[in-house]
Amino acid sequence: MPDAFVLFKTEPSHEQAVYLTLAGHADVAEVHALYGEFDLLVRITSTDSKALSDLLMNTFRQIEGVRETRTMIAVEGA
Amino acid sequence: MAVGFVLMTTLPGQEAAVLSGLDRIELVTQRWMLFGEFDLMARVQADDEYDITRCIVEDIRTLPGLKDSQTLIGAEL
Repeated sequence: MPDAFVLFKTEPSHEQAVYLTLAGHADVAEVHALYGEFDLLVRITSTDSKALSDLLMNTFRQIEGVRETRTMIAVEGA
Repeated sequence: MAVGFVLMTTLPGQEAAVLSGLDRIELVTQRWMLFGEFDLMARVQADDEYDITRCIVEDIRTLPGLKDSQTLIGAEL
């Protein structure tokens, strides 16, 4: 499974809490705080697309303070 | 250290050419081809934001085949 990237918008003042929650997750390879339209960028390494869907819907989007996400899937081998 | 991510769309059929151009830019530490709204993403890393800005404006945005780009600048929490 190739890398996936998730851009996060958080509720105001929740940036740090969401950042720390994401940074402690086993499938998160890296997390960056951002200036601009989005607040956080995460790179995910998951085993397959089902695991990725589960991670997004049942974990990341359930984190308190997460307002919006946008997911981008990398092309394998490019 | 400063980090930036550049999301790019390319002209049709120019993905590989832009990808190849990214591989020749010293400050581009990683790059990915993407499915979806954007075609490519590059990670740019430098000692400061000035170098990142210069890299994006002078090296990345001048690549033949690039149509549009959006830059995400890393912040410190």
